[in-house]
Amino acid sequence: MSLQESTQATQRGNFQKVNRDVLRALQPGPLYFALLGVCLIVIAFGVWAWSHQVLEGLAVTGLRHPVMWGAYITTFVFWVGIAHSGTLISAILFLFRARWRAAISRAAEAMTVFAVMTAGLFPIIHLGRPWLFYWLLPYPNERTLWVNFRSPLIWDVFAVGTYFTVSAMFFYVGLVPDLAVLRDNSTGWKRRIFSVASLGWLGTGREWKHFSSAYLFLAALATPLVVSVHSVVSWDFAVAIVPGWHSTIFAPYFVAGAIFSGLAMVLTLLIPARAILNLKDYITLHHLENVAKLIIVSSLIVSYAYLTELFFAWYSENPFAQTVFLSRAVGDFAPLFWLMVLCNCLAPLLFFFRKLRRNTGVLFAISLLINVGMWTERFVIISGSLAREYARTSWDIYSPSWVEWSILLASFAWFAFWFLLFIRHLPAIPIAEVKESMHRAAHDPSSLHTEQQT
Amino acid sequence: MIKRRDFLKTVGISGSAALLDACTGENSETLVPYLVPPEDIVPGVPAYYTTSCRECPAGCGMLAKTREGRVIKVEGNPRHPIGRGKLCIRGQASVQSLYNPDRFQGPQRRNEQGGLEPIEWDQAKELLVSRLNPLLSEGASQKVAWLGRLMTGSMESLVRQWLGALGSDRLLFYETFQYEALRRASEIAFGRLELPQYHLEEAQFLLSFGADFLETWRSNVEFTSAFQQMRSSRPSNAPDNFVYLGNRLSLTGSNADWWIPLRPGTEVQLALSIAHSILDQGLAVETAASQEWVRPLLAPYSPQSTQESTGVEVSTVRELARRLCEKPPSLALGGGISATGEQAVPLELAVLLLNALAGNIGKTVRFGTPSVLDRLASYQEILDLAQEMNEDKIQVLFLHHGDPVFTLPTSSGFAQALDNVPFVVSFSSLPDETTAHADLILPDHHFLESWGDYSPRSGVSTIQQPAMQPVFDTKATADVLLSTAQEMEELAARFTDSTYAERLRSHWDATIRKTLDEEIPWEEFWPDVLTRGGHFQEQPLLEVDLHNISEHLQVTEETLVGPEEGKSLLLYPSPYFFDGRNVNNPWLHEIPDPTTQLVWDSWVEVHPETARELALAEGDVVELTSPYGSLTAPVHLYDGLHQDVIAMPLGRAKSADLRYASKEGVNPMQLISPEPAADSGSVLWRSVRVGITKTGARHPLVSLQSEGAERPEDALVAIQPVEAPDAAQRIRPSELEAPEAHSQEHGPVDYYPPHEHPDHQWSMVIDLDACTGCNACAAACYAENNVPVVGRELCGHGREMSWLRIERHQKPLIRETDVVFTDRISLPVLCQHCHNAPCEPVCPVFATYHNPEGLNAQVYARCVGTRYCSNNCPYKVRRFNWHTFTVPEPLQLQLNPDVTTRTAGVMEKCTFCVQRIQEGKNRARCEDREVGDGDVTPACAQTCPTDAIVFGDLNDPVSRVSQLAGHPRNYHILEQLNTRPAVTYLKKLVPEKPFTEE
Amino acid sequence: MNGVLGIFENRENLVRALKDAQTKGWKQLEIFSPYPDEELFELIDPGKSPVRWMTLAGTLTGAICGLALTIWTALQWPLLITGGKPLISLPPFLVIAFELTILFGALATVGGFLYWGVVRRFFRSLPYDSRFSQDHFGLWIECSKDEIKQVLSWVQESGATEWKEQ
Repeated sequence: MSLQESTQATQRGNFQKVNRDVLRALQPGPLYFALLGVCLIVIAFGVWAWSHQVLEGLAVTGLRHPVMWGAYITTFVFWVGIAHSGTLISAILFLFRARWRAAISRAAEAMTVFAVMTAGLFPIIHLGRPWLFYWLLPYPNERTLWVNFRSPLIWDVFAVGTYFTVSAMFFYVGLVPDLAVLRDNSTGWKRRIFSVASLGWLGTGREWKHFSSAYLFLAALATPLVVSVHSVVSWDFAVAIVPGWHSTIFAPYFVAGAIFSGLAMVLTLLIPARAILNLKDYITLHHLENVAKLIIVSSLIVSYAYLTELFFAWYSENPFAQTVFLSRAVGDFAPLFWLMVLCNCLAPLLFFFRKLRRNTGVLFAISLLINVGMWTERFVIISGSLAREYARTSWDIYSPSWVEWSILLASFAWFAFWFLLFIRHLPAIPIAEVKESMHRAAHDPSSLHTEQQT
Repeated sequence: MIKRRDFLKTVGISGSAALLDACTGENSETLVPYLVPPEDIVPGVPAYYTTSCRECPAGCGMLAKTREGRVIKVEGNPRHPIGRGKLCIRGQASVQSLYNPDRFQGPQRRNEQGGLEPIEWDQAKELLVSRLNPLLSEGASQKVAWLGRLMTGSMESLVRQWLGALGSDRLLFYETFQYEALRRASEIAFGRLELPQYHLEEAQFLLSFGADFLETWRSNVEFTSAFQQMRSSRPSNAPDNFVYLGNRLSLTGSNADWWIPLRPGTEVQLALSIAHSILDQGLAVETAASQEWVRPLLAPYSPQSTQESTGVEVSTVRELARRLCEKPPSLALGGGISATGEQAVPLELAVLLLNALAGNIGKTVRFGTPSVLDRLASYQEILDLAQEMNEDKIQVLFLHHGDPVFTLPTSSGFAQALDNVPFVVSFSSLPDETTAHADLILPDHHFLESWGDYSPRSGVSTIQQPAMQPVFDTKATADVLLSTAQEMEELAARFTDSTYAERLRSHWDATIRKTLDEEIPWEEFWPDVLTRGGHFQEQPLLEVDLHNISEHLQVTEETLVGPEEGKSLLLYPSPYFFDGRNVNNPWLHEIPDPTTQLVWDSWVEVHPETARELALAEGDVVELTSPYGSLTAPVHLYDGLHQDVIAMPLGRAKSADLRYASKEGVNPMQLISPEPAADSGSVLWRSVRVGITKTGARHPLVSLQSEGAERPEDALVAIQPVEAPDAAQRIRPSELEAPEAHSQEHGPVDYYPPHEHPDHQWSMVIDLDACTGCNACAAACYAENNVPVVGRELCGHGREMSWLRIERHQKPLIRETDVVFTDRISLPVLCQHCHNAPCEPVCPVFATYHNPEGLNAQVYARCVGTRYCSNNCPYKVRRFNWHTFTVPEPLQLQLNPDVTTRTAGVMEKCTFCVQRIQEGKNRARCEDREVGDGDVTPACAQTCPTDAIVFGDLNDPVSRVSQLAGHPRNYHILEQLNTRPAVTYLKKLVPEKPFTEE
Repeated sequence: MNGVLGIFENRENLVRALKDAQTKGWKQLEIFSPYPDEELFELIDPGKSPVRWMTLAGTLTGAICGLALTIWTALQWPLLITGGKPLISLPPFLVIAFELTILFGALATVGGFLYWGVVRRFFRSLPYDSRFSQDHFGLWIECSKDEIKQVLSWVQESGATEWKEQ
């Protein structure tokens, strides 16, 4: 039954269907538990690898003088980047009144929260003395020694901390009405939990009024925040004097890259999810196609940034910058560099063909490519520049050790673990919002975004 | 005003007196913690003891710095004429021989199974006595022989007397590197069988025929500072006054301005043709030139005629002749190990002749001050001893230090001869190839543990004080001799001294105090000796005249045995390991070799051209085969070689069971000829041609300096004259006239105002024109700052911890002409203590910050290990603790209690020896005065033999740094980054004109 | 509290009924809806939500706290010079100030929503029907005991499919 007909008929059927479909998606199956199990095993292995590193010292990693940052920081930046598209979809597109984002906004928000939770682990994992990580927090102590607010790493603490708090609140506030739905459709202890979680939501006009207002302002705050967060992350590098890092374009460059990688991750998650959870009627090809279009845009921005960097290096005639970029283009880092160009600049161009961007198989494949490409990009920028710093006599080559690889893998498992929990216990589709857009569709045919189905 | 050091040294005397008994091991219960504290050991305050370095025969004066009764560092004794307060890298590392974990922990005996088993000292003495008594009873003569390191004064007299009592006078002094040829030559030319004393400091021009006087040749510390005096006085518009002729560009060679790569065996012809050219151009001094035999002798050696064989242009020879004579005095140094072949004596003669013609005799070449080296037994004499050993003439052989089995040509059969001796006693304190053949091992004290005296040359008598209790159950050899003598009734009467120390004092009283012109009471004499470190007096200059040398100067074609297609083998003493006696000192392995930048291995150096012919790559293991033996070693490509030569360092590897010694490429001595030189009886260091065959195996060599030049992307940096690190230190006269081109004043460039340094502003100036790249500073840094050693594997992973590295910037050598510009700069790189330090603002926890005295402080306790500071350091001088590095017992006893040891996950780096700064300030405060120039000297600057490193307070206008900081040659590395380093470099002077004008 | 709850199956009837009820002068009205519908809550509670003021207050506090924290802490240990920068180097401090502005703003906004949207509701005992969270709409008219009859009959006319009184 399609929503087309629903516009003639009464909405009741659809509203019920929404509840039914979304709630049906919450019945766990064997595949689900299998996936969950795999995740837990991989996480356990990662934890073991890390404890090995804590006991032995960082010598167990591939890090070396002068490449002091490698896979860990790369992965940190990667996950922070992933988080961004979630906010883009749920907040920025919301402000732009792009109603189509409704169906995928919940999943995107969830992705944001979990991605930040993952990213947040890495600055601690990479520390030489991780047990002292709390020294990076400004807390009153007997030495009256506070943190160094001039250090980009402290900016990170604040930016990422704020980002996590805000996106978590944003996620929860949006969830409240849907929790009420769960409450009304469950019994026993579950019902009790949900009624507390939903703050006894009744759906009165006044509740809705304050809800909408709060949601709007949170979106309005999240938008500059998301831009600032990845700018700050990029400044970890841009404020350093390392050739290949020290560049003014880094903030916009990294924000674009973040959105880019995040959108790819949205596809990577939603394409399987909508199939497994039969949410095809809600997360439609139309949505995926719109995401693909956004990917084209951000990909072009990223490619432009690459070119600008190369141009700077060439035009500045700064031999150190030139050395770094030569080492990327034709030196030891060439394979990674060209892999990154292939994945981030060339592959997305296929989305210019309508046929391809409406083919879930292609979408999924390319989204994976972009994930790989963006991780590689950060790797090349971070270790590639450090390996070719000013002191030529100290140059060296870095490749991650098994410890770093397993912790990277574990981070994906950790992320997937939370996402699995999410799709099984919380509505992956924002029920109220979908109903709202159905209502709008019924009332002004001008906003028939969600209805273009084939 | 008494300086604190003198005070402590005087204090040291009573202390040593207190320790004296301890050194005989009788009452070793007076160890810390003290029940009754000795007054000279104040916890927290170092006590210094004067002594003599015995790492090599040079015998530099040494100060042992002790804390709470253990030696933590050694430094040069400023009052000693040899070294004058400086030590080389080997001297700095000698504390690691003292605390070496592989030392013999006590006496050992060879058992029936042929293994060594520990025994008690009493048993050991019994055993010895039981082997000696029969000899005495049958009144045998010459049945006992002693082969050992150089001894002088009381020790020598004791040993001679002791051997005499046993009816023998077979006392042979053995050193691996001897100078028989030079001695023989000076005997022929000047009738003096002694090594001439060279005075580099007075030379205007220096010519070295492969003599590596900055590394291992004779007395390297002394020569290095003299060399610096000679260099510092040269004009900046024509700064090239050192030419090195040899077939390998050694560390010494790369400090020359020009290198003339010689075909092996043609040194003599070249020397003679230079002499010829001197006469030609009428530059010779009359006294020498007038001798009627001179011209006939030189006639056949016109530059034209030698050009063919030597490959050196006529113009070059004429130029060399001109430079030798234009500004007298000059100096020609002859025949290093690399040139010691059949032609060694003729070469030395030719070189002496050059000096004579240039009028250097009596000026830069002096006689009348015999060196202790003159008393070495020649290789021939040692072969004779071996012969007697084979003929069962020797019943008991004493081996006192030195490792002849390892350092003599293996095919000389010394090892077999050793096995033929019924009873071999070794006093070595470290297991080596020779102790493997000993029947009884009576480990001697380390020189820092025992009394002694040593006189490296006449007029210089050094006292050697015990600075601490013995680390292991060892005994001073002298005391062993005395006590065994007292246990043998025939001898007991003749050896009355209870201890060696007693004998030492009486000897000094008799041989020195009593011979003084004015009468000095013992109570004054002895403390003075101990505080000064010995007794020193000037020797009168001896007038010599040149004899007719023509009939001894027979120039023949040098014959090398071995395969025709093979390469001439050049063995050179390793700059760090000499002949391998300190092969087990980890610092020396971890500090990159100055010419190759390699660590932890031994290797064979092959010219890239040769490598191309043989399809060899860096790290390929090759087999070297000579008529006398063969060995395998990894290949290192080095373009500082003559193409007919392959070179191999001696002493980096040993087969003995030593945890730090490399096992690759032992032992080069098995390749060379056992035949002694006919005329001088020396080892024929250059005697063989070796065949090279690729084994297919690989042993990658670890270099701590990345060869950026090999990477494609590096091409760009290389062509940037200003930016490229190695090009940045060039200076041309034009720049000398326009120093502001390198001024540190950036003024308005900065966004923020400069910060204040109210009291002090510590700063360092490093003169690249003075730095020879000897790495003594690096070793001093390891010793002073408890810098951990990480080992070969971790070095390979780029986890080395050195705070101070000497970068070698050497362009590939261009061989267009016969004269090669040695385009080399040794660049010591340490924390630059920048005023705008990039590392500081990025640290989230203030673990590093800029302190009010201009130091870039690093607070280990506060560091959480984000490693951001290291990323942001353009000089890459920060080191991260990848593990918690530890040292095996008892090496930890050497750790400096003033410096915390670091644990895993913490960043560290050079602190400008902040603990020494603190000590200097405390001293000033105690003496109630301002901190003055020279109160604070970091370890690196303290030991630098050329004073290339100067440290001080920029706020003090009269300090040396303040004066040097504005020097026209000054610049900062990566100045364009505006980090405002506290370390200023002075550019190296390089010739701007080619060697020959025409 | 007394009143009548009308349950509507579709929105149009609810809107009609609501407007009608308001003309009748019943002040204490509340509606229930499964999704946010500006039209509806404009009718029931015209004017803007006060949450916006919380947001403003929050952001301002955040900005001030950010600067205060960074500057005050820097002054706590005036010896800690890094990289030749003065103790109070504003550019980096502004980054912290910005992040705190956002953080406090967001916290205040949520606070505002919780107060007006949730806490305030606890003081009113409203009826509820679980279908409101699915597809039904509701209109609650609060009135005195004696009015109930009259209201109830009106509700039955208003197009509601069910009704409850309490």
